[in-house]
Amino acid sequence: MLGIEKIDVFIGEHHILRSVSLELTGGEKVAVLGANGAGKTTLIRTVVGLEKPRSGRIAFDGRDIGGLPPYEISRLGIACVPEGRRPFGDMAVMDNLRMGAYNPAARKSLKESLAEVTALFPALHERLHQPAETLSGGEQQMLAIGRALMSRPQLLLVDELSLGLAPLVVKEIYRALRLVGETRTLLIVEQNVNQVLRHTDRAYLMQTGTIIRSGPCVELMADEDIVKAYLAH
Amino acid sequence: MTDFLLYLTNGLVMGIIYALFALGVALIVGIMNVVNFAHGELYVLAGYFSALFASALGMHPALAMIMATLCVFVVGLIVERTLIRPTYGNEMYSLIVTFILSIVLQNGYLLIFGPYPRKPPNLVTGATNVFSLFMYGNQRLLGFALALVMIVCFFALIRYTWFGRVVRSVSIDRDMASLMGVNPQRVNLLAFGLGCALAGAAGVILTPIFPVTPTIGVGVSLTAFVVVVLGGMGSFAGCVVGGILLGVMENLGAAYISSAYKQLFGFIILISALFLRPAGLFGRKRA
Ligand SMILES: Nc1ncnc2c1ncn2[C@@H]1O[C@H](COP(=O)(O)OP(=O)(O)OP(=O)(O)O)[C@@H](O)[C@H]1O
Ligand SMILES: [Mg+2]
Repeated sequence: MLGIEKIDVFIGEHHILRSVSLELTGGEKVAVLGANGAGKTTLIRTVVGLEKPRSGRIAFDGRDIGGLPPYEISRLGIACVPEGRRPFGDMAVMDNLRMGAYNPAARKSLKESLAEVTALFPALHERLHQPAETLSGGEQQMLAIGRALMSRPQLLLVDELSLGLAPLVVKEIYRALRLVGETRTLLIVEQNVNQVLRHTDRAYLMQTGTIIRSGPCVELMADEDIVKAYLAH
Repeated sequence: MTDFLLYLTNGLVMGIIYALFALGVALIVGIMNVVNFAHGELYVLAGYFSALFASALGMHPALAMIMATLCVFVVGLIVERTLIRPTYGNEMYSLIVTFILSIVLQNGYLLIFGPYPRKPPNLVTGATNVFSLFMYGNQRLLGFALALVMIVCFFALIRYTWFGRVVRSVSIDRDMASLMGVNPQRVNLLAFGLGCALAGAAGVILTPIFPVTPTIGVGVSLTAFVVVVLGGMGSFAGCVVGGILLGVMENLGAAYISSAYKQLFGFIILISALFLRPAGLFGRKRA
């Protein structure tokens, strides 16, 4: 479904991603792990079109999307929950969700999507008419996920799912993502390694702009070195 | 007392029209981070167009007003496409480009229309006895009503339509909006056109009362900037409050202190308001 082949990404003159390759098949749940500054956010920003790869190829459903602007990529069925959640703060929760369904195809099923999202996150349902900036951190993350789902994406990218959230909220969000994942492909960037490995099939490990390991989660969790470096907290 | 109410009414009428053209500046600033120095010249252009359409082409004055506003909308689209788009990402360039545009337009007007004031025929004549206190020109009352209606329509557009949601989301977070499927270049184009059209609408409303000359646009731009800064950069509600405040203070100041300092009052209000609230009346601190 998503094939990233040896991309190099520069921000200004900084070489951030070095020959990164990654492969997602339809329906898979995949985690990307790595220390601060490893390049996880940059990877996601590149897939959605906010950064352009200088070389390499990004294919989505067999189509080269490496040079497309973000608004065209979103129309193909890729949505993301950005680092920092980035709700449209002044706007009502309802309008945030509506913006998620901006694309013509998604707009047609706006009502259904809205019902699905509010069923998934009842907390949002009660707050549809208040400004997004008045939501708690957890609710804002739900809103960010809900907004992404409003476009009815095939592929959902999530950056820092649980950063700064209370354990109970994290649990609730993972429960929701499990439902979401039944019909969609997921790529999740996480610091909370223990959680994410329990909810994904495979993981990639990034370090200073390259992918240093990848494999099924069970395999990674069994690897002494990796457990020591990333999982032992 | 009656005098005071008359000055107040004058202030309200002018203020609501200030608000109308200032909304255009606020829209363009909010979406594109471009300060359009030629805003006043587009107001003037609409005035000339309406005069031209009504007298030279013999259109009904109301139709001339609508056509003139539409023409300025189209001019706005063309200006964005040809002059502003190449400056994206560099606010200094866009500032210089619109500044040059304003001077080129002023000289163009002088060349084409001459230095004399131009105006279309009035839409209505006579005066109405307001609250049985004073007689007030119907053309002014109509102008007030038209501007008010346009402002209400603008707010409804921003609040209830897809275009409005796009405008709000793009001015909050451009990248996120583009991830929702919004084409930022198209939004820029439309917002710039609409911003210019708001200047045009104010132009066609005021020109029958204050005929246009090649250079009066400078005062219009300045007033618009004062209102936008007073209201809080990019806040639409701030524009309305700021516009009315400025209109009223200017008129009361001119009546009770001296009409020689009309422009000065605006600056005094601006400076004192900013002293009390640095982000403007409705401004928020930007991250
Ligand atoms: N705009 C930028 N200009 C220069 N360098 C940048 C920019 N954005 C990111 N970088 C650099 O790119 C590298 C990767 O950043 P990125 O945000 O992708 O890391 P990350 O894995 O998401 O980190 P974190 O876990 O802290 O979110 C970092 O070294 C960062 O300093
Ligand atoms: Mg990151």
